[in-house]
Amino acid sequence: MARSAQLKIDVSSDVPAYRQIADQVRALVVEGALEPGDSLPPVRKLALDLGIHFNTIAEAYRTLAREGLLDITHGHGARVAGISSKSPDPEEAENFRQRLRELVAMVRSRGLSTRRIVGELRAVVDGLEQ
Amino acid sequence: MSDATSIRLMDLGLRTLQASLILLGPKIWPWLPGRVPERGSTFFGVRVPPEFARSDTGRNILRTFRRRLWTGIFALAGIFAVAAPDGVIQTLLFFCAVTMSWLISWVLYGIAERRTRIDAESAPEPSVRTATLFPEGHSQSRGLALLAWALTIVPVAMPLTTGILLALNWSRYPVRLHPDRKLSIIVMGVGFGLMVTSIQLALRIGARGSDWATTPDASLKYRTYLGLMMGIVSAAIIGNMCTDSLWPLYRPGATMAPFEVTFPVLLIALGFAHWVRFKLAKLFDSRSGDPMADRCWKWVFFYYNPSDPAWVVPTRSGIGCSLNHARATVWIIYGVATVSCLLAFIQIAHLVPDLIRTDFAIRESLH
Repeated sequence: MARSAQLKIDVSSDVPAYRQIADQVRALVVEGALEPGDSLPPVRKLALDLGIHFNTIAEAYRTLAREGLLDITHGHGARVAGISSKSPDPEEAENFRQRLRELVAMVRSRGLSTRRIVGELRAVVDGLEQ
Repeated sequence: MSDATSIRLMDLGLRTLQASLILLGPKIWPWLPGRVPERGSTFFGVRVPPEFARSDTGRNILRTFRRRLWTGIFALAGIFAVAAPDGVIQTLLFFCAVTMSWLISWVLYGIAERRTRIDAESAPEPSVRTATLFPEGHSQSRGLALLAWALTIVPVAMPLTTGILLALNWSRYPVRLHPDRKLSIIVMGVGFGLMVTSIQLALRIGARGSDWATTPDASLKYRTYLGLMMGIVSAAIIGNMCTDSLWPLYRPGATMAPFEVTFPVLLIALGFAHWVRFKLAKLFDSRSGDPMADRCWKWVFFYYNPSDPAWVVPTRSGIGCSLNHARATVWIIYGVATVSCLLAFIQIAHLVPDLIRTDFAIRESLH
């Protein structure tokens, strides 16, 4: 059966399109929907499908390549490299905690219940453990 | 069969064919009863609330549009069938009537669009766009892909080959049949063929995977069949030009390909095109929304969106395709087609009175 992985961007969002793309591809790699060695569509093809400029896609790919999630080789396009197994920078964990606290505070202030937030976080953790 | 009977039959066949072509032009046939001009959440290309198409106002706009369109087109086809004189003038009037039918549908669609804008509550433009990360085309059959490629190449290859054959046999070509003018017609064929081939290529590499259908594979299938329809219609027209030009070389004494040869071929091509048309109607998925804003459509039917990388997009009703006029490539395609058509017209313009005179003389001698 053919695998499927979809990208969805909101052009009216405050978050830049390249960030939305990079975030979603990263999530797909972490969740295993994209496996190491999978080719991503050419920049122009994805730009065409999303109706945005190809530089936006190229920027998203470059961001992911800098993080080590993608291999970009001339003539072969972008391939999923997998998740790095090196030990993380201690500052990275601190950053993560800070961003998570900010995110939780933001959705809580917008009315999402504590129970719902805990449920969503648990679902993410379960996905990671699988 | 006598020559007079043969010509009378040819006139009748051609007249019937041309009148039916006026009635079933590409801008007319989608408006047979039963079809609602919806695509995504649009009605006559305007973003409206989903229930508008089924409201009394929506139904009224559609009914009025359909009544006006079909009355206008039936009247046009009827006047043509009854009043057009036989011969070359009939063919010239046919082209005028086809252009007229397009203009009528254009104006009426514009009126319906305006009425929708006035009467309907405007709905927000979509801001969410989707794309798949895995390539399309896995489910396409090899036969269909080969046929599509063949019909992409044929519209250009056929007039090019004819041009080369004419050039190689220049000295053998009967001077009274004006080989230079035949070559001009072939140049026009090359320009027309280039345009059709470019649009077919654009449908493959310059179209969104979510247009015309909800999945990339289904969209590719629709685009392939759309390319097939363009390919078969243009191959039939260009093939006719090429056969007419080459016939006197291989059948000494003949001025053009006989009607008994060309007419059945045209009928077969027309039948195939209609089959593809029904197939396209089945493949079209009205849930495939238009991700771009209404304001990208200029003068009702012309798509102009500099921020859209697509070369080719579905028309506002979703049937068929429209080019993105903000792309330079599209204007290059138009430029090539226009220059070659102009070259041919300049060369053959003074041939038309000659043709009409000869046609009258032949008919006079037969009566």
